[in-house]
Amino acid sequence: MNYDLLKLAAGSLSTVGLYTILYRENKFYRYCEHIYIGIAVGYSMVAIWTETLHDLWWVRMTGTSGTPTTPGTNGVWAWMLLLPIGLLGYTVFSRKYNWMSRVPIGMIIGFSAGQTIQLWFNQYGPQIVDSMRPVLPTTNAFFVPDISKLSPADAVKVQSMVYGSQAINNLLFVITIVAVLCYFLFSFEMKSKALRGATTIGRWLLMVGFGAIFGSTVAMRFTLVIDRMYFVFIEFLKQGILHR
Amino acid sequence: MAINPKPNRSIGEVLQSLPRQWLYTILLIVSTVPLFIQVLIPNKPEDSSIDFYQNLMKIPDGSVVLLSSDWTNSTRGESRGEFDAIVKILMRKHIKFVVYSIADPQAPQVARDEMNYLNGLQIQAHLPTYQPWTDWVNGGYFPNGDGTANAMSISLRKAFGGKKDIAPNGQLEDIFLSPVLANVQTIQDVKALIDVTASATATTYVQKLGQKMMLLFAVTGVMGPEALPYYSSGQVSGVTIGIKGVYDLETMMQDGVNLPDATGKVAVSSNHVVGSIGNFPGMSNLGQGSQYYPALNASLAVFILAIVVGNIGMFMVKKEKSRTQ
Repeated sequence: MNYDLLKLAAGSLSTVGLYTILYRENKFYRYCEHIYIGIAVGYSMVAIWTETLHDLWWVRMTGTSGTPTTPGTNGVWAWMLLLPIGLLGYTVFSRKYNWMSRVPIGMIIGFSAGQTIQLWFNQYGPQIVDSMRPVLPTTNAFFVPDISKLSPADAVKVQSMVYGSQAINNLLFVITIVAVLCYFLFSFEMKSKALRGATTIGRWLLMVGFGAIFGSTVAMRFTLVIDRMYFVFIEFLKQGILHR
Repeated sequence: MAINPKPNRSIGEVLQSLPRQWLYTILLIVSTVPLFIQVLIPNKPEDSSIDFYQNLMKIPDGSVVLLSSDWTNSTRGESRGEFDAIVKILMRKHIKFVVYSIADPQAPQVARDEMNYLNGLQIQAHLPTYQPWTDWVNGGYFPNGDGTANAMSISLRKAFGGKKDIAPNGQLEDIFLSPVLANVQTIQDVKALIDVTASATATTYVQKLGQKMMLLFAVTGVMGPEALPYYSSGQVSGVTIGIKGVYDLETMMQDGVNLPDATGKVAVSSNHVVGSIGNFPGMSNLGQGSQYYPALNASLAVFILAIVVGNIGMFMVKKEKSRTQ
């Protein structure tokens, strides 16, 4: 029996099994689902050992005997201390000792909290700076010229200008930011008409944004369906069965 | 399964309650048939994809990059095409790379399988294969993405220290003994970090490494809206999103950008690229993007049609109700 074909057949059968949920809930779907979850969990447990814990913890703790090209290393016993600290996490299942699980959680939160301010600024700082965009054009030309045929020096000159079309884009961008920020002002009552109007615009613009995100998500889900169809019909049936 | 089981139902009500099994069947047919027909849809690559390709092509031949492969078979439809296109470019430019994951323990094996597949394509095309250990090395899985990225920003040698891969002698050896990483001391010795991701790893890299090196993201359609602000603010040098992004890369690998062909015709033009960007003539540039894109367009057309039909039904029912009241 061809092992690759068997693999493709198992994959195709599982794909069909999982898609039977589209018709209705059934035992074949449940069977495939449980196999899928079981394999994923089992594989992940082995992979965490082989890909991570073995090299980054076990070998460092026990040392290596060396090979013709690599000298051996001594083990460092202190790595052993990580095991009881990690195991404390499982005390969460005991009513009597679950307070101990706060030790590793506290360490993780402590490490994260210490970095958060810097990380927040790394993530959002450049975006805040980028949101300060010029809304007035610096040249009479409306459209940005084609820079593909310009010299690099001339291209830099063009890129430093604000053209009419760019100014409109920037204005829309700034209006969107201000309106959406107004929508999230919950600290006081909105009595001003202008503020209420900005809030309404902000809500509409958010809806447009959510629509675009949803559209992108739908396109992705369709691609996943197409890929499964490609697997079943092209990889398994056409290339695996018919072209053997 | 009957489309109109109750004779007293109005057309509007019928349009609003088409049996879902029918809709699923139509969708499966529409998403499958185009896979058997090789049609190339005209394509204009997005600016974010052009910048991705441009910056990838600017990396000097023979350099080293990091390839964070944070996808598994659950997003194969998009991420595989992105991974394939990127690795093809790296292979053709002889750029060495370390592939690793901070998102999923299954990801390194998926990447290994994909490298075997791509090497198979190289053999079919009578081109040299990309040798593990010599041309690329597997760094495995890192369970704490935040901690790993932070460690990478401080010391790449310490972050990847102790990681092993199979050397040509069949033994597991430290990956820093491989020709890929032998001359790499710090993160600055690496020209770029390319993240093929289906999860939030992009944010992790922006936070920890954005100030220190060039970042290029190949994300799924779901992650696209989250990644684009990073591109817009200049934190990321290029982003390619979903199957459209894959098709963009394949189109540019085939035709370049602002690059005239033998007849002087420019297939892909961009007015924000200075000069032109090269292509890979005579090579198998097209792949998953060109195969799936027609099917995606057909599926989306059916989806839009279903929305239109549902809305027409809703308006008809509303109109009918207002008339009877």
